[in-house]
Amino acid sequence: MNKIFIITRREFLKYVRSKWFRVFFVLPFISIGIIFLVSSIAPEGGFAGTPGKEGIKKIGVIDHSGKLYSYLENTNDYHFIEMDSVKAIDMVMTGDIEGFLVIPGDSTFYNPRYYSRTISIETDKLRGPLNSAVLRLKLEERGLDILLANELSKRVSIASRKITETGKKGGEELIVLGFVMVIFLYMFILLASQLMARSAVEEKLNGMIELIISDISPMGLLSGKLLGVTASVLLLVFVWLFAGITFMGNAVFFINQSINISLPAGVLFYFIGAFAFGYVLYTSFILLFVSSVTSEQEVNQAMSAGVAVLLIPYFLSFFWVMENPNSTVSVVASLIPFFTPLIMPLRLSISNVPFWEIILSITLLAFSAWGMLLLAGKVYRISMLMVGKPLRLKEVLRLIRMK
Amino acid sequence: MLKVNDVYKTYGNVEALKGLSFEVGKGSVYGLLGPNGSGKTTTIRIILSIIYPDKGDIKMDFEKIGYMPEERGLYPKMQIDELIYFFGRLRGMGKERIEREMDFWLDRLELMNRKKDKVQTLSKGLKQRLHLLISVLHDPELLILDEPFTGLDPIAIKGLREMVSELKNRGKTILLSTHWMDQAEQLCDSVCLIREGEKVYAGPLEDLKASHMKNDIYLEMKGEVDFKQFSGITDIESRGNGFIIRTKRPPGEFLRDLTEIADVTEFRLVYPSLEEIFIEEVGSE
Repeated sequence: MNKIFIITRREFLKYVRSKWFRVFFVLPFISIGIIFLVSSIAPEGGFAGTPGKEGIKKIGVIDHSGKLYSYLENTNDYHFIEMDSVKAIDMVMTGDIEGFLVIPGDSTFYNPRYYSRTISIETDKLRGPLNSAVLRLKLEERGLDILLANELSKRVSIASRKITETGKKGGEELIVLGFVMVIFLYMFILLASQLMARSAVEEKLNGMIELIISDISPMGLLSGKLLGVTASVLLLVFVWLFAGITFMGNAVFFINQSINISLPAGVLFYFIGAFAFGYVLYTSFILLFVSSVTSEQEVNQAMSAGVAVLLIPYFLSFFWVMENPNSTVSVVASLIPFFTPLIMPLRLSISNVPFWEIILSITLLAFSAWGMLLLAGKVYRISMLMVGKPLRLKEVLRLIRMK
Repeated sequence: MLKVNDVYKTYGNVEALKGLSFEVGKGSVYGLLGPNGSGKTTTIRIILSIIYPDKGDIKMDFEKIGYMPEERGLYPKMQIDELIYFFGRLRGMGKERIEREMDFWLDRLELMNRKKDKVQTLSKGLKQRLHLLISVLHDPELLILDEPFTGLDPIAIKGLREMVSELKNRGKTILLSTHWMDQAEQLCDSVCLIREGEKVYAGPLEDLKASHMKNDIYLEMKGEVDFKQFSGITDIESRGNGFIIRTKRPPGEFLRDLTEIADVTEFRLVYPSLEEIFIEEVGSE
């Protein structure tokens, strides 16, 4: 056991001392520093502003139709001010207004033009108030009461909430969490398994495998590496989580609302389980192919097989499961061990998953991870001393069958 | 004592070892000699339990083993002292002992001034020395050297040979795998010749040489003699100040006849070189 921790220590220090690790380690702290700096100098209420304060942009309106301006309503973001074209340009140049709208004089005022010092996405945001104004104008021209026109032009706002098995209403944050889980697991597994794969064959490519395994067994070496790489990646993960939580605590300064995500204990446990078993499963799977490499170039080729498998549930999550969490495809996919770590947490976040599916999926995943680790260990042990041409899939299968 | 007993090992369809047996005595330098692919490295790996035999077993009463493999890679970006410390810890050594042994061997192998350098800055010969240092760091009772002379210049070879002799004098047992017969001949007390995974000979080097004596005689004398008058001479070769004569007759009988007509100043039996024996025994197929 002591030998395993000596390997773990070396692996951990190797990655922690590397340049890329320092960059990724320091980056969130710099971000946090900037957040605190900005928040300490930000005006009360933050830069996003509140109605009637600095956040509101003034937009000039040159209304050649003479009709539309009176229908334009100020919003939380924009105040509209009528003016002539000469004055408008001067005011843009002095910064008194953000930009100005020119509404044509005939009935083609559906196509106004917007002028400002910068070409921005402002036109998209202005489209809403303009459409409302046009609608109200048209309705009134056809004899409808202005109050009724206002009622008719109001848009519907819809928010999605999950109802849990016990009938309780869930929050919108769980849906966001589903996305975050998929991306987080994908990033972590991808990063950690690639690091692990490279680390696993380091001694073989360095030509010192015989020296090292005369002091520690191949499985001991592999275990030490697995622990070392995982510890270094987890350290990064915790740093980034800390940065994320700190950001959320200060998010009010940027998005004008606080974020408060509360995670049900069951989902949290499942998330941790999927995280751990998924990592072991994918890393072991990649190791099956990587163990046989004989050069640095072949490492990338071998890893692509594992990464390709990881891409399937990633895309399936976003293009199918998100829309149809309880369809047959989603249910079956969430029970396939290779897909479970990404798909099941997402399903848990956005729908009600039967309890038996949850238990079955995590059990299958756990056993698959364990089985794959044993297979990878066996192939690793045998192929570490093999040199020459890299192994093909057929030979890997033969190694698995070997005693 | 190390005893390799009737060991078999197969890789797929290839029989790497076919019932190999030999015994290494304590305090000796033992040569494991054979051409490339004869099974030397497989034998060493089995002794070290890196791989396991299909049949047969290994018995030994050495607890600490040092190993210098043929392939000599190291962690290139590690500092030399960190690397030594890493291997010391792997072998269960305490911090103080590692530092004491490290300083002794760095000094002995003239690497002290490179202690804080990275491994990748060392030349091939210096890396070889570092490998040797790592293999002896924990004061092993048995030291296994797999092709230690490969890739070394003559000065480095001499230095390594002196090191092996020094370790032998300290009572260490050394198993030397090589196909450098001249080096093996200078260092080994006993040898095992392997051909295609099978033992050709295992025992003392002197016995091997004696068994391959061919009545070759080296002689120096005053004046000239016509050797044609002697029966049984098959070959005559000029060597230095004298001759190498191969005769079918017993050397003593030939000497008695020769002294009757010539003033012989030097007469000795010529043992075959290990290289000659090796080619004859192992390289014949």
